[in-house]
Amino acid sequence: MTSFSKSVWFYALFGACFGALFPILALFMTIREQDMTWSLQNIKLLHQNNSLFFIIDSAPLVLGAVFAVIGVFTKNQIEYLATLSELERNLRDNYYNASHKFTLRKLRITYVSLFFVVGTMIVGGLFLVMNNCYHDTNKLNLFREVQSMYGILGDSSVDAPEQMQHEYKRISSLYNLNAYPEIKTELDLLYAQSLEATSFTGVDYNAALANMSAFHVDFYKQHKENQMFVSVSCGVLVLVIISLLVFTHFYFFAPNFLLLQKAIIENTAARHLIQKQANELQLAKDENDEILKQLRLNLSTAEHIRDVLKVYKKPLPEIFGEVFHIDKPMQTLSGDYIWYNERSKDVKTMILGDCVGHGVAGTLLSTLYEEFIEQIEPLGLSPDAFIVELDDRIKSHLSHLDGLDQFTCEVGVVVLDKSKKKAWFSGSNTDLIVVNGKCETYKSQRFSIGSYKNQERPFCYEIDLHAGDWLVMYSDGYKNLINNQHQRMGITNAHNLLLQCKSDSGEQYQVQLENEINSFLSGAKSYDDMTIVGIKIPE
Amino acid sequence: MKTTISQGSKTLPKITFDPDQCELRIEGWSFSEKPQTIFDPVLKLIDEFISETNKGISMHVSLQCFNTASGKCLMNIAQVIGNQQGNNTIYWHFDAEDEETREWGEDISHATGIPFQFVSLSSSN
Repeated sequence: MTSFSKSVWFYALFGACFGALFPILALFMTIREQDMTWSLQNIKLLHQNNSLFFIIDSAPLVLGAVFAVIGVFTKNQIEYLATLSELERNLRDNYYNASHKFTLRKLRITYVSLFFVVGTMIVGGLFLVMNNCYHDTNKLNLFREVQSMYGILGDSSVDAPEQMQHEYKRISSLYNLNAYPEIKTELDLLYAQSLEATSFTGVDYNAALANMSAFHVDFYKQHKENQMFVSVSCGVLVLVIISLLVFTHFYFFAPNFLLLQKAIIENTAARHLIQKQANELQLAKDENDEILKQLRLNLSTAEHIRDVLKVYKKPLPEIFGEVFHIDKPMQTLSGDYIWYNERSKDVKTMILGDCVGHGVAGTLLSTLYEEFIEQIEPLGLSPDAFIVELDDRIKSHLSHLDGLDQFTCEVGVVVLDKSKKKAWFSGSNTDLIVVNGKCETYKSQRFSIGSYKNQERPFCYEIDLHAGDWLVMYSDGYKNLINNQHQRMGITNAHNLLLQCKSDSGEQYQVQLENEINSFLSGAKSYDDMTIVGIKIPE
Repeated sequence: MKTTISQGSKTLPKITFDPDQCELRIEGWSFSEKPQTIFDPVLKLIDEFISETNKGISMHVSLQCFNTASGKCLMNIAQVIGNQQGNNTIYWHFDAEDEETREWGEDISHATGIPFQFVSLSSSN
């Protein structure tokens, strides 16, 4: 049994139980009025004498059916309510008015249900009142008494007249015979007959029976007329109730269903629209994926071209010995770069650059800068002069462009002389850190290559070195790393990590530093390219 | 009425200008590789405002983190304000433990020759 039929059956059962009260009450009242006992025979007798009981008996069926219909309506209402609630959640703004109207209709339905329950009770009560009004039980009982009197008339014993007189007196004391003159006449005749006779032997019993039969026909004719009136009245009432039901359905329920159906249709339309938009989004995503794929391919190609354009150099360790180089581009290709050269057996140059831009744009600019660095390096300039020369050449090269400040680069230039254990450093917004037991910072100047505004002139430091010292330079992507907790690395932490990870082995230094950086980032993405390069001063 | 020049994001600062109070505020983070796109309109606005009203301006810089390119742009803005006549003041806000940001302020102040009012989170000097 589904939940649907359960619900309907519950309503039907309730209606039937409620309806069963009517015949029970009717029987109870009638039996009580007529001083009868509860027995199937008496109930049968009452039904035989009053066909209105059959109509009253139909109350459980009728009310059961009516409540079943209400149950169906209610079930539908609950389902539609659930649907509307879903709609309200999904389309709250659009269906606010509909929801408001629906609340009003819910109130109406409640009132209508209440009206039917009360109405049914009133109609049932009316049945009983009308039954009592038009069905004169005294008259019926009197009729039965007359029947029994006629029965005595057929008794030929000597006690029969006396028994009839006794019965006459009993009946006279029980009933107001003046209210029923036709019956009183019959009884008076029988009584007079009993007074005159010592026995009823010789009485024309057949004539008496014929008389009784005529009285019987007359009585039932009137009785049936009364019952006919009651039946017609009940029929009219039932018709009125059915009319009210139909009217209520069309006036109250039908518009409500239409409203819900409209909401469902609109919801379906909205879903279709959402589905359509989802499909369009999927198509756009597919297109974006394809574009992304092409971009990655182009980046890979650009990376390859950049490597081809670079002048071949010996690997870092072959020139500097113990060294580490961490290169973490933001987008495959980086605007950061390192450039190095071996001026002589003991004198080497290391440059770390950080060009504006990321990806292909950044790497193109860095390639341009590296080209100029290649041209300047043979001049054997000191680091500060190197930076000024690079600035001049870039400005000269890009002088035809507006917005020169858009192609700037920060560099740190170190010239290292192993034999003299000395280094010369100059930086444009790129510091040099000497990591020994602490981090000694050689501060760069606020100078951007390719920029015209607010430039400090580069300054050259001469640094005495010791075996085991590490010379470290980094782009600002390192100190500006930001993790998932929105914490910035900062210079202090950056230098602490350089100290903490320091090792005699360049490879080990790099691995430890990368691990610490990854640990700090906790999977957060970078906002900038990051390059760190370190050179160990040999024994 | 206060004007919002930049709403601010993970990489861009929030920039507001209140002409009634003659107050410019730059807050948040600045990591754009092309910060000129956001700071150039600020430069233009300040230039026009001061020349039209002859009023002094207060600039509050309260950046928790910024890259070198943004630092250069701040330097340019400070330069423009410094070149204007009137009672112009630049307030440089920094975390008391953030020495780097304070140094940036000092460098800009030194490079532009404009005295800054340094305001730390815990104390003012």
